[in-house]
Amino acid sequence: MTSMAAALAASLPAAISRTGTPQPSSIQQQQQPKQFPQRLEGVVDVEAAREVESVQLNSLVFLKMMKHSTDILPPPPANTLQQDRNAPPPTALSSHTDCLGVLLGLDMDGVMEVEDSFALPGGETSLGANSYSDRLLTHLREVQTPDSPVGIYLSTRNGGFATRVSIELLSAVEKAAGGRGKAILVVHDASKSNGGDLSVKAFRLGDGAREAAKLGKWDEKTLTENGITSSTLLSPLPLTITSPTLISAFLSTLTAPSSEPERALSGASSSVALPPSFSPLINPTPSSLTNYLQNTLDSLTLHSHEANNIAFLTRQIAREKVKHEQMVKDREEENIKRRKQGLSEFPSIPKEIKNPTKEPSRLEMICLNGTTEGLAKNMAAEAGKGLVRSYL
Amino acid sequence: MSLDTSSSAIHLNLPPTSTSQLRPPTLITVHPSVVASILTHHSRRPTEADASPRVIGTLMGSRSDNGQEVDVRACFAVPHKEDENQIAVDMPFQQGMMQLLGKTGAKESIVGWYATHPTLNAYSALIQNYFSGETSPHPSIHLTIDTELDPSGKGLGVKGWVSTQLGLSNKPENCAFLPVPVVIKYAESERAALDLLTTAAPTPSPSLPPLPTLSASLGQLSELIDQCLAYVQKVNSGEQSPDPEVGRYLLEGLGRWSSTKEGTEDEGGIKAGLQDTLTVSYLSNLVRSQIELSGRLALLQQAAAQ
Repeated sequence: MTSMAAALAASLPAAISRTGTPQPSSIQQQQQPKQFPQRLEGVVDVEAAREVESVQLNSLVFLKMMKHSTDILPPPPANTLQQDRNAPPPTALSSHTDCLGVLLGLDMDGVMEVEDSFALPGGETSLGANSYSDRLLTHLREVQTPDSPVGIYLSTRNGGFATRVSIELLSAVEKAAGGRGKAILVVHDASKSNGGDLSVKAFRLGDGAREAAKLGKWDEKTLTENGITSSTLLSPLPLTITSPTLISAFLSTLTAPSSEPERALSGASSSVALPPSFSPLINPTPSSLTNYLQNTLDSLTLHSHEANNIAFLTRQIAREKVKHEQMVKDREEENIKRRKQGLSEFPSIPKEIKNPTKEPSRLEMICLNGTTEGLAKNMAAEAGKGLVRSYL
Repeated sequence: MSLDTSSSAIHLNLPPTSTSQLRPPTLITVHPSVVASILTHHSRRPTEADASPRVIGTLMGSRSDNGQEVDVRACFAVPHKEDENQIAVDMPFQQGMMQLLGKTGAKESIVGWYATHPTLNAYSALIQNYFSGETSPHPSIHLTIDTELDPSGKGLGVKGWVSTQLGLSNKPENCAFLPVPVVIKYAESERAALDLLTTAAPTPSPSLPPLPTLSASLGQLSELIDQCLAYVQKVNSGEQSPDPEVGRYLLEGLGRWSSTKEGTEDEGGIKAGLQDTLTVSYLSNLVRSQIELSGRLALLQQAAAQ
């Protein structure tokens, strides 16, 4: 008897091999059993020749995303905020922390199948070795979870567009996956769920954006070279949801009525876990429209704040440039004078400025553009709904 | 809204029978993602011959203040080996996972464990004892899911248990599992997502424009009204014996509707609402075109400066 109790101690070896960020082709080899099963041989895309054409989400991932969006999360740590002169003004919009997480799966035959996901703590900006993501993945690998990150999910209240942090993470995933443009971003718009609507969309980086992400720079030159605006940053992908058999059986038990006959109708609550709801019919326009207006105003505030920052930095750069050129010119004149007088010359100042102010990254601006547009679109949709309801 | 196959058990809230001061929980609420996660772990288990037929894992969540309600929000699988003579659970794995998951910021702590086999045996008691040590001073809960897809519809019952010591000697294997009712709990904002998942396959795309949901709700409502009409007509013509319960229910519903329908107030409300919604629609179009313009202008500026 005591040996059984003693046997509870971990007899499984805890040896974890750190493989760092493995290449996708080797991941595929490790995941499948010893040889590829017959049906997969034509489909597993080892050379990554096909672009991702559509995304298939598992219902497990879907439910986990929903659950994460309803968690009460602490505000993000300060190192994720854009480094600027002042912190952006606190708005109602920015008081909701965005929920980010990593998607795991495999792409087969042009369809990206997402099998699992996990949540990331706020403040994570990379997926490299020794990051939270890497450590969690080594644990998950032991329970036969697919361990290749294929993308990021984001659950946000800002109108269904990506945020700067998510784009940075997305480029990290791209790098980890070999940079072939296969990383996907799934955005869940939590601001719409108050009206009973669901909005989950899948994107991948647009072509121009992919170039910029590879370089890791988002300043003006790269923007114009690749023609990046908020509408070309991401290109949408069709999204479907599948359920494995067990889960669909479970889901059907939620709506199936119980086998016992209904004895008391006035007993109110039905015995069905998910009774049909009629919430879309309620006309909440007076309250919800103000919400949307408020959100749009907030995002415009953030946008103008960021625009001010960028303008300030641009002016600073211009000032420094002018000052430096002036210094160079003065030094040259000095040297010419001294040459005439036959004295030794001062060393000439190099053309390049030492430690210039860096060109501001325009990524935040683009994302804010996108969020304002998304919110405005939602506002229009809500207004349209209100119109339809009034005319019912 | 119990997830279990219907049982005729009544759950009483008795004072604690053991020496501990804390009462065992009387209700377990589960998020649907937890059940989906457990089923996925089960389907991913290695299918070698010597592996056990079930998987086990840890449940995380929160408790209510008095310990009566336990809310299960997340879970993860723990590798374990089980055979005739012994059972082994990977403890460092679990501690590592707990440490990592604690960093995400959600206030979840370990509340119990799950297994995907409906039977409880001595091994369950041992594992329960270990988990009680982890969750002390609170009792830990255990969830079992029956994964046999039985055609009689009995499968996929989710049952919750707590354990109490039993027997003359204080050995860890001697304990009795008491059933606790389990209920699915989800937030209002997730309602639309769950509706989507439970509609008939093939599942429509998740980014639904708002109007189809509206029309679906309208369709459902009109169906229900048709049913009521048919019933009332049958009762009037004498085909069906009237049920006073149904009659009272219908009367109450209709009464509520006619009392809130103020004719003139609605008219005025609609007109004002119309103005507002049209203004908002115009504003949003304005904002969107401005944003697009500013994006293009940013590109242009640089080109002009170069």
